[in-house]
Amino acid sequence: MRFSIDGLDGKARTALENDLFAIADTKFVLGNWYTRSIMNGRSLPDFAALTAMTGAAYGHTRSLWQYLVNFGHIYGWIERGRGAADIRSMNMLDTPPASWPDFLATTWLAEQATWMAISGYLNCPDRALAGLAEKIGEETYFHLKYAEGWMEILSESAADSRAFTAALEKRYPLALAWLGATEGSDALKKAGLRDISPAKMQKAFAAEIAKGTAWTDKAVSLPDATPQIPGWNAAMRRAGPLPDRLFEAIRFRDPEAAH
Amino acid sequence: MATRIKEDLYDEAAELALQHRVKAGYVIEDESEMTSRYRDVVTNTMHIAADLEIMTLPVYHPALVAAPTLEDRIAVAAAIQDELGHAQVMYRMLEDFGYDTVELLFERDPADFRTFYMIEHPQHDYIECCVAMLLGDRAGYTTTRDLEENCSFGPYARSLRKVNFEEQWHVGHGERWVKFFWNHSPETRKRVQKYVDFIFPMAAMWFGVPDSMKKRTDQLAYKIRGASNDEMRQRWLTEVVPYCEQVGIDIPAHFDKEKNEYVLDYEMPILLNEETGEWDYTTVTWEEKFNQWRKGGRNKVAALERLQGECWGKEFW
Amino acid sequence: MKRKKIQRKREIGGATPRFYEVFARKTSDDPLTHVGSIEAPNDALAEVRAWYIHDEHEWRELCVVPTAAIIAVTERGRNVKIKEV
Repeated sequence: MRFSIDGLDGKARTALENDLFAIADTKFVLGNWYTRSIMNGRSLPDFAALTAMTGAAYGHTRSLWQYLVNFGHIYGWIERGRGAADIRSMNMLDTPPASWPDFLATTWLAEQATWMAISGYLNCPDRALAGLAEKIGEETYFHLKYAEGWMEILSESAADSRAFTAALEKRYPLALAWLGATEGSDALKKAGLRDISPAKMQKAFAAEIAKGTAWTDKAVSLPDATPQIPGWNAAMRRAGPLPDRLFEAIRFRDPEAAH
Repeated sequence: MATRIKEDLYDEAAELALQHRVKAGYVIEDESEMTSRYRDVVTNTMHIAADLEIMTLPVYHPALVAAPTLEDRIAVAAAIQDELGHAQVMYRMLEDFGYDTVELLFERDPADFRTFYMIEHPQHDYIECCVAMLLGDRAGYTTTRDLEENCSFGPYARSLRKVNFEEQWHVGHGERWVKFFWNHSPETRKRVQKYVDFIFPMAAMWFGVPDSMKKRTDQLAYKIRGASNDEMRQRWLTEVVPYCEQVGIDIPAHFDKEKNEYVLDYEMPILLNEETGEWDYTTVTWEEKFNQWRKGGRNKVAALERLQGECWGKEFW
Repeated sequence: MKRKKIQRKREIGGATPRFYEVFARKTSDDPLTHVGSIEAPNDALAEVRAWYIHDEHEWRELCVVPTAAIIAVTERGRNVKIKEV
């Protein structure tokens, strides 16, 4: 039988919509992080890589936003009609990076977390969504490889290692919270849409982060349990609206030229 | 670091012999085959090309931030990525001649970058970016096509295959979207015309001084390039004038039936008022024009300083 | 805004850059061809940089090789071991 969103029960439909919005909007803010980081790049090939990752993150955003039209939204509204209180990106990306190591740590966490979330759909009965997840996976490989390559460089400096570790310890709880605290999360597994539960995703994510930070001098102190974030909105997968400065930085301007 | 033999006088016999060989079609593959002056001319050409490419990053970046839709942001990012790939190709080749890319990009005084006036002004939004692709990328593409076809230094000529493949896309993108914004609304049409007015004379001057004025013809003598300044300017006009006339865009150039060629409506050189952003179509002296070029566009130093610096925290966004 | 200070040894692989040569082909019929050269201090960054800088085609195959691993035969003693095809 052909997959149809309308064929899903209410809970599963809402859970899917919420999950995809959370991933899409996080990718969107991540694309903006990459945009603003390009000229901070530390070599000519870095400038090129950061520009490419900007395009890729925005491309993932576009695919997901286009998919979300299936839920009855108008694309123009998704892209340009929403305010700071409507964007569902990860709280972890609310604060701008304080340094190159912080930038690397945070984008690496964001890439790992969003990949964990979307990879749950690789075997989804909706082949369109499964294909989308696969494409994101192919490109995420290179984003993670970029971080890995830079971590090798950071590992050769005690100061950079410390800065990276400090950033990781600060940002990680928010990534963990984003993966774990979902409403109606079992509804997706029950409906056969996603083959991994949030609890399992958190575990897999924690294992990847532990593996990826084995090079740090002192063991990174990361929480096991899902942090409780004050003001957490389970449907939005975040606490509070986007900070004003961030929203101002990411929003689409120039409505005269929009099409 | 490659050794450079600096002679007080070039060995004129050897230079002349090489000029004959390349004119006959000989393609140089390695530095060891170059005479001193050939080496100087080709590395000078590549150095300018490299600096022009890297300058596109700070120039296009505001358009990436301001692009009105996600699709447009993706298009600008793709264009920037291409240009950075071109910069990579050029600086990589310069490394083979003993240049140091870290020094060139991150330690050199921004005022010493060898960019052209047209690329020293930022594109504030997507419409300006598309007009720049239509006219500016088209100018660069005219140069790089000539180099790929004719350059006697094989590795440089071949490296332009990728560059030209991608520039063709940029020019096409510019053509499609300028036409779109011309017809989209009265407001966007006004914006297209305004930026065309601003950039057209700069793009026309991309090709340098008229042939009658050109003292050094080394690039032609050593077949680093095939066409002269005027020939390339004519090629560019042949492509942009019919397009603009067909769309309805007002430009200061037309086809002169008597001369049987495209001509500018004004006599070069003319000066830009950097404060107002408007051109004064009164012909000035070449010394005045060289002074404007030497001073550089308002944005040049700040743009390059941004590449050499880093912004975090409150400065990040 | 503060000025970047590039740490050459860690970030580019030494006083002068560590280079990798990039090889690719578009289809199974094409020969594997040299398409460019990039600098990177380690293999991971070499892989990524080659991928992003040489994305002019959807390659059937792409690989990178440290320039130091190449033994020049005809080009021995020359400045440049591999000429762009």
